[in-house]
Amino acid sequence: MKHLFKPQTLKWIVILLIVVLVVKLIWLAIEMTLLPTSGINQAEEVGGKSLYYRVNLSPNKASAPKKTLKQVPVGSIKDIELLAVYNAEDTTVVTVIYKGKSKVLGRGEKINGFTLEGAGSNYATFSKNGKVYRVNLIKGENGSTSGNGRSGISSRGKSSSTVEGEIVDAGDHKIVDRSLLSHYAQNMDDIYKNIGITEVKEGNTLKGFKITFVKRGSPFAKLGVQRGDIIKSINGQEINSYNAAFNVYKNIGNVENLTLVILRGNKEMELEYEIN
Amino acid sequence: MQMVKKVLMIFFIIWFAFVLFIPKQNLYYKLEQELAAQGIKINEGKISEGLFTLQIDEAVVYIKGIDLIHVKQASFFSLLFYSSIDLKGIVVDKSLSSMVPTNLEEVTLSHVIWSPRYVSVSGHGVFGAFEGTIDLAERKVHLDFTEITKLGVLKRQLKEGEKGWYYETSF
Repeated sequence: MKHLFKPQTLKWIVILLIVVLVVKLIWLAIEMTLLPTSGINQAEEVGGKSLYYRVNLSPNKASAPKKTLKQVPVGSIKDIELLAVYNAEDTTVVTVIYKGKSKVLGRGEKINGFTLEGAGSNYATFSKNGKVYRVNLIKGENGSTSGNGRSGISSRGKSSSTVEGEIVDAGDHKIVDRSLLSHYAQNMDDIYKNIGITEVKEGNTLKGFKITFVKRGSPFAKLGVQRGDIIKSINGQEINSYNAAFNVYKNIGNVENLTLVILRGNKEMELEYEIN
Repeated sequence: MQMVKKVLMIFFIIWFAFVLFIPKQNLYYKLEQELAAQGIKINEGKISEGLFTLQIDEAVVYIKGIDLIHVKQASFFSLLFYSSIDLKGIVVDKSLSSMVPTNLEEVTLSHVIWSPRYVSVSGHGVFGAFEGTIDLAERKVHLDFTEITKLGVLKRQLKEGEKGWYYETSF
C-alpha cells in the first residue's frame, strides 16, 4: 500500500499538533486557575441628589410685614459710592461718598441707614433691615481704583496671578466673593496649596473627608474650617464618595449659598456661606 | 542543519500557539482587577477579540468613582516580543480643562522585549504631538513635545529645555 505522506512527515505533524495542544492546555489551566472570568465595572450612580439652596423658613426670624417698616431714613444703596478700603486684621475702615461728600466709616457705623459690616479687597458690605448689600470700589479717572498703604489696603490693580476676592464675616454666615470661588474652581492646584484633605474610612466605607491642614491667612482659614474637621455634607449632598465631592466641585460655580456640615470633635456643626 | 531547522520550527510553533491562545479577555479582566485595587475602574461598551488583538470600544474610566475619561477605542496587541496599546478618541472631563487638555486624538504605548525597562509613548491632540518614554525601573515619565500648535493650559505643566518643551513626572 502506498502512503499519501511520508511517515516521517506525518510524525512531525502529529508532534506539532501535540505541541499546540499542550500550549492550549497550559493557557486553559492558567485561565481557569489564575485569571478572572469577568471584569470589574463601576456601578453608575443614578439620580444623584442635587445641590439645594438654603431658604430661611424659621418662624422666629423677622416676619415679612416687619421688613416693610421704614423707621430708618429712606435711601438707596446706590447713593453710596465706595472710594477706598482699609482692611486690616482687626479693623475695617472705608471711605464713601454720600451726597457729594466723603465720609470715613468704621465697622458698625451707619450711613444713609446702611451699617458697614465688612469689606473685601475691592468692595464693602452694608446691611439694612437684615439684608446685606455689596458696594464695589469706584474706578478712578485713570481706570485704577482707590486704596493706599499697607497690605490690608486693596486695589483692583492686582496681578492676575493673585487670588481676587475676600470673605466677609456677616455674623451668622460669611459672605464669599464669587471671584474667589471661581478662581479655586479653575485652579485645583491652588486648593491643595492652602488646604490638606484626606479621606476618612470605616472599613471600606468612606465616611467623609478630613481637613489635615489649613494655611494660616488663606481664604480657607477665613472660611472658618479647622484642622481635624470632617466634612460630612455640602448643600445637603453627603460627601461619602469621591464622586459626590467632585460633583460639588463641578457645580460650585453655580451656587448662591453653601452649607457645610462638619464634624468638629464629636460635635456636628453647620457653616453657612453666601456667595456674592 | 536538519536538526536546527526542526528545533526552530518547534520554537516557532510554540511561540505562535502561545500568542494565538493567549486568553486576551481574561488577561484584560486581570488588568481591570489590578487597576481596581488602585481605585481605577473601566466600564467598556464592547469587547472584541482578534487573532492577536483585543479591542475595547466606548470605554469609560472611573478614578475613585469619578467618571473622568472616555476612550472611543482601545486596542491591545501583543506578539510577546512586541506589545502595544493604542488609544483613540480620549476625552477628559471638562472640569479638568484648566489643568490638562481635554481632547487627545490618539495615544500609543509600545514595549519591546529587548528594551524591557522602557515603554515608548507617542500621541497627538489639538495642542500638537508628543513622544517619549516611561522608565519602569526609575518610575519616571518623560515626554517631548515635538509639534506644538496650541499648548494652552498644558504650558503650566511643561518645562522648556534645549530641544523644546517637555513634560516630566514620576509615579
